[in-house]
Amino acid sequence: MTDLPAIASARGLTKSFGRKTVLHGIDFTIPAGRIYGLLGLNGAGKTTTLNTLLGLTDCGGQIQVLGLDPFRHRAKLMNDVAFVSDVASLPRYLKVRQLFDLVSAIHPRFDRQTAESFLEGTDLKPGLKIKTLSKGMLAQLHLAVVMAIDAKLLVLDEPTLGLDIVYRKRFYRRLLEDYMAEDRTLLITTHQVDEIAQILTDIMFLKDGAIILDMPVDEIGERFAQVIVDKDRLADAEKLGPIYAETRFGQTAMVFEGTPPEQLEPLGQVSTPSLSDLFVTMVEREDGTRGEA
Amino acid sequence: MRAMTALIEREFYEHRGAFLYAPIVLLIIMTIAILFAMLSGHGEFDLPPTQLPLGDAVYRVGVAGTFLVWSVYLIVGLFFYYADSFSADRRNNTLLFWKSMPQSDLKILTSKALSGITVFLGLISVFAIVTAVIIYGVLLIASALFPVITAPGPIGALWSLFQTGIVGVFFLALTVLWYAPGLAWVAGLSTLFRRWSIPLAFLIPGTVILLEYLNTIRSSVDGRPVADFLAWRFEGFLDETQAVTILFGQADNAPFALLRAMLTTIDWVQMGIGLAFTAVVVYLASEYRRRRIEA
Repeated sequence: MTDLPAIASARGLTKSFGRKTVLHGIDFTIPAGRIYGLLGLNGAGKTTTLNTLLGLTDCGGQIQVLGLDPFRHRAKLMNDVAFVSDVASLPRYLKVRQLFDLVSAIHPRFDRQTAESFLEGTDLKPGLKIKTLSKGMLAQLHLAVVMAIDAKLLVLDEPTLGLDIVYRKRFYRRLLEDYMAEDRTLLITTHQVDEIAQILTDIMFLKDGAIILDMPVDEIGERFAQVIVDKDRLADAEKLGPIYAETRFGQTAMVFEGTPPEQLEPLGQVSTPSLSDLFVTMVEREDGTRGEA
Repeated sequence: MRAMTALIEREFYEHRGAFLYAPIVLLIIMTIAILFAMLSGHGEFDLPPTQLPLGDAVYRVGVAGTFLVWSVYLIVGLFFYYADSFSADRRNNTLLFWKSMPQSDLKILTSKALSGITVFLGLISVFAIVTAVIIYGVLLIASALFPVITAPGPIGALWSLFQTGIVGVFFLALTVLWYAPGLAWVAGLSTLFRRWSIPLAFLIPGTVILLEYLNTIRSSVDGRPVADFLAWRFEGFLDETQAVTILFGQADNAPFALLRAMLTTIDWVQMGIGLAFTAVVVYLASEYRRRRIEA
């Protein structure tokens, strides 16, 4: 995949809240220079995984981010890690200018000029109070702040939640065009799977606190195939053991894992499943797969 | 140091209402009320001139009085500030933003603890000095209206203001340090219980004192150490009568004589214990905050 050292790695990561276990001993390694999509249903453990990576919560097992134990060394780690967990978390009692003043003094890797350049051409003026900004403007401002931080890892937890489609597309375009570089790693969680499908290099699916898929996006086509099965070949297709089947508008789509293409092609129209289709497949497959990354 | 200054600055931005805008409004109301009373009143002084002290001494006492009044405002303001600020980042949903900065929870809470003795103390000192200047104006008007009252000359007033102002700022600082454990107490409660910290700050010691009182009745034991200690602590370290006597009694350097008296009166062991308690509360609160992420 890459020879760059791992940005983050976890072994046997567990987390419980009272009697409820949220993470069931998950393992993963995130190499540098990748754009990871962490996807899962509500309550799957995405935010908890991110929180353990960011040192915001303690956990069982082993986890290292940039060579540090994140919970023990959160403040030090934040020199090289930027994150947006909630765009509504900007201090509303400040003006935009005051926010930049404070972050300039507090964060040694924050470049004020870069942040200001991101706001050029927008309605965000330095004298505006943050509490008067719309949600879209808040997202722009927060993104300007984190993109002006020279971080090795950027973590975005539902960064576009509640934003309209125009802002969402602008958000991801700027992220790619203005921020991503070879030595930077991006970790994103979102429910709008297809919106980020084009920018991801890797995906990690979580279900019930376990990783059910962890692989590079460009290997999906080698491992998974989706077939719109001809009506007269349904029985043959069933024999090949699809991991998921769904009938839409009279057509039956089946997803196969590891089945050779020459066996699938006679059954119907073969394609690589979209990220959202693959996500639904992996989440709804009923073989109880857990941690088969 | 730059980061700590910035963190204290953000406390100012967040809580300037209590320590900047509210005092400005109070000062304006007070000034208007005094001027209105003086210019529209028909008061007459029956005292013979010999019974009134010299203008310099009156002004010194007046300046000291403003610092005393503003010290009450400062402590009350800081009580409400600390009842909120240690949990404010959770209340206003900014906790995750500040946690994304490379600053430890201990440093952030230390900045809040230090704000009381730095930026807010500084602001209230400025208001005390402005009040003292207003008092001088009032004295000038009063001396013009009532010959029985004498106002100090401008240079004398400035000298009194300078001397008493320095001592006043020391007094404010010592007051904050003296009451620091009480402020830390409500701050620590706020970390755990947020808005309930204010009633709990009184309810918990109140319950202890009540139990102590009941125990005293039941076992016929004399003395209530907790109640006595808290009452003594709450009373403060300044003997107002002694302060006025010093300020009236000495022609020159009276404010510094008052400062010396204060410094020798303070129970420094108790001050040290109180500050150690404060440091422990700040540390424990930071460890709690380190483990909290939800708003």
